[in-house]
Amino acid sequence: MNLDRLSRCLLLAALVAPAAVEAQGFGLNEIGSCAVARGFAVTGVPCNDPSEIYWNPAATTGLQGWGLYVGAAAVQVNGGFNADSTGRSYPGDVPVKFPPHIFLNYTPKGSKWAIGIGSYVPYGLVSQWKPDFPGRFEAQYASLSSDYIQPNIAYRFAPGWSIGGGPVFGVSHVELRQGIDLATVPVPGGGGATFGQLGIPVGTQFASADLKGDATAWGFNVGIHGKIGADWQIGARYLSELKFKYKDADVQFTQQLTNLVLAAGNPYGLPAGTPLDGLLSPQFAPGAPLSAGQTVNTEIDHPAQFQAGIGYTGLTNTTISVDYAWIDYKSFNSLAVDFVGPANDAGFSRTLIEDYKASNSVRFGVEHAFAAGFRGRVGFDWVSSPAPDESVTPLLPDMDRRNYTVGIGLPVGASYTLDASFLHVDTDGRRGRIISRTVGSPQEGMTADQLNSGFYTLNANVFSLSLKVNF
Amino acid sequence: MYCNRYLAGGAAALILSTALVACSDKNDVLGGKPVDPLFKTVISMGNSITSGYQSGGINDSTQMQSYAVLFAHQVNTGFRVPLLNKPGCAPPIDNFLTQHRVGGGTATTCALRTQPATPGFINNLAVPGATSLSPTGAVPGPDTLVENALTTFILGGETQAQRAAEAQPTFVSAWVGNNDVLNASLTGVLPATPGISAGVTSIGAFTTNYKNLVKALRAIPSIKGGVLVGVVNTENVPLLFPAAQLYNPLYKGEFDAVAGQTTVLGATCPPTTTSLINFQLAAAIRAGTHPPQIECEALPPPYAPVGNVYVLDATEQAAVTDTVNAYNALISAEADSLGFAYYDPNPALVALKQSNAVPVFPDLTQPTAPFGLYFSLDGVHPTAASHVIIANGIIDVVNAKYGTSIPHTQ
Repeated sequence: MNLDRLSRCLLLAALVAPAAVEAQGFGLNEIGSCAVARGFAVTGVPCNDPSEIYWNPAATTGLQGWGLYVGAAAVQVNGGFNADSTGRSYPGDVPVKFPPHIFLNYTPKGSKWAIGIGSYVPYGLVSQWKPDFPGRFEAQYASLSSDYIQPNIAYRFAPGWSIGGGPVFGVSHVELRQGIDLATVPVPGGGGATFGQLGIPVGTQFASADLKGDATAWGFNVGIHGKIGADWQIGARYLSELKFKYKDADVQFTQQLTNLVLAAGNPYGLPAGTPLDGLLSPQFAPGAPLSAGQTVNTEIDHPAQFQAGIGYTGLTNTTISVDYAWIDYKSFNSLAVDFVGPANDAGFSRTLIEDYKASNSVRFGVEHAFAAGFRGRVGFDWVSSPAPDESVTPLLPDMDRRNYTVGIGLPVGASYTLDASFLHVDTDGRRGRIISRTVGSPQEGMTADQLNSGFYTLNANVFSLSLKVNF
Repeated sequence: MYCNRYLAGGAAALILSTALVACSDKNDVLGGKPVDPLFKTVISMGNSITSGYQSGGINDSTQMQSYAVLFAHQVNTGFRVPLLNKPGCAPPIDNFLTQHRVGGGTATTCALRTQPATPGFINNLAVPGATSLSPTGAVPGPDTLVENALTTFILGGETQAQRAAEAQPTFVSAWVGNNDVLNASLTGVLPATPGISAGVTSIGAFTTNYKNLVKALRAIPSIKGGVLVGVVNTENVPLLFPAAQLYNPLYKGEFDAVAGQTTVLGATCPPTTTSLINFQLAAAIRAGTHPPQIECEALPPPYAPVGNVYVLDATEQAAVTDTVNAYNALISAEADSLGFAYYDPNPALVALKQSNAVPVFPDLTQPTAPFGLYFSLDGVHPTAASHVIIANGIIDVVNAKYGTSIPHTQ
């Protein structure tokens, strides 16, 4: 690779990288259009492109020369919530997101070594609900975008067998916007009574809280890949857990008018006609619980991933692969939100109970090479949800998924290949809750039947486009 | 927020219980698929009867006995009730003679609202004490005379009309107007008299108020149907007993026992008198706020208001009846204009009275049911049994109007 080629690669990387900070869908592993099209069953028989740095870091020894793989996916999430008590439906309001990926690899001709670097987004989440959604007090908008940057080195230690891996540096940005329900707030001087107990309906929003924070973390990604005979390939990879600690994240409380006016004879003992908002505004004054300039600390552990696969290449121009993936979501058992400032003194800090378990998925993929290098790909996955029945929430109404994938690989000249794929995520829907479940709250000991008050629906469509460049 | 000084006075009488901290969705009548799409979202507007007020109090048990809840159950729709914790707010009276209340509370005891676990609109918007002005009046409106703590406990700073609009109902029931004549009927003083009687709302004022309610309902585009309920002729409430019954020595003896002394039946109370007397007169005599003299016609000064307060004479009864009839003619016409059903509760209540299901004089040998099976211990508000009758009456007119097949409740 000469300097001109290198500079073009860096230019492409520079164009894509800034978007990575903002772009994220939800946890689909939409990393590379070829992998998407093959149902993500690409650890045993990887796609022949530098996205192997993520999917199996060892397999890059099988590439040749310089290779660049760059692209993005458009993720459209659809879903909603149907409330039991009212029969009302609340559609989600999730914007289309474009998580990018870029990989650069160099495998010298005839060498046992390969080096490379990749930037990808293994975890991400965006959920957004309209302002009238009754679960907005749990989450009205949530965004988690975590970009992993991974230098990689691979070594072929025996004919057909390689190992590889590298450190992972993660950069994560989290945002959460939620309403604050006046009904749950204690009335000052009320002997422990809440505004709700004095008649303010549950779901009366008098403020919103916007939390924004950044964090970095270190981990690693390793893999092994081998060939068994002429027709079989196997491989495995392990991406370690990354613990992101968001320290001193910004939190902004904003008062929202309720326009409630107290009637005569009210239990507050206040004159008839007293606007409730006027009573609440001191809560936002300097030094008050909802004052400006406060921060919050939290930690989100990004789970470890293990994936192993096997593939058969003995059919003419056809590859069949099957993978098993395990994601250790057990690390996401709670989410502490610790305020620093008057909000903490007022008891606003809390620990959300998640109790996630490990997720399993089985992945199938088929690729067939047609004439002139054109490739067709299809795939299917079954993915079990890590969320227990008690933790299906507006933040992430997770449920078992079925992924249906299809795609093509189209050669463009001698050095370029355009991969395109489509993924449809299908689910059966799942009962869930719209209220918080925090440590020490009455909800902590409740069952799913007691907590859940409606039915979530969820599906997604992903269109992915990647360009492979060989130098 | 710095309202401690207010709360020190206002909330001092509140009973706080640790059990109140827990959230609950027991205030939802959870329906599956409504018997008809018309009933996808049902709301009820009204006053004490609709809210489930009984025996001079209200709590989560009496609230769930309301005809509004029974109707929602029969049409199989979700229905959230703003439940008040036991013993109540105020706790209902459970002994007529001792005036003991559930849990030993007083008339100012309030055990606060329950906290529903999930956000959602309230379906039963009725507030005890509400008049025809209350549902649409500004908060606070000119109706501050009848607003009370329950106005805030139930509506939380908005009017019934505002809460109704937020619920986007498909079906509405409204029963308002009883309090426009009730207080005057019970005090026996029909003109508004500060400190004594709220007076009878004039037909003109009632018309204005009711048309405002109808206007508010028309402004809710989601409404597909409803039922308006006529005003009860308050001269039929059993707390008002015929003065002639005091010629029965048994009843006279019981009355005197409650009054704490032997009372004198005056010359204006011949055996043929048709005047009605509020049994609360006995309590007033016992308390010394009324002389032990019973008159059935208003006496001139210096004897006034003896014979006036707590006494509804024939002329006043006719005035009340005429007023109620005028109210109900308007309500029926407004129901027609809205395309709603109309239900007149009076025939059913009169039938109970004529069948002797309602004692003509409080049965003091039954201190937990002195007014029989159909009226609660305050002698005004219906019991659960009456609510069943009311609910079935409403179901009948709704079925007739909309061609539905809502089954009767038992």
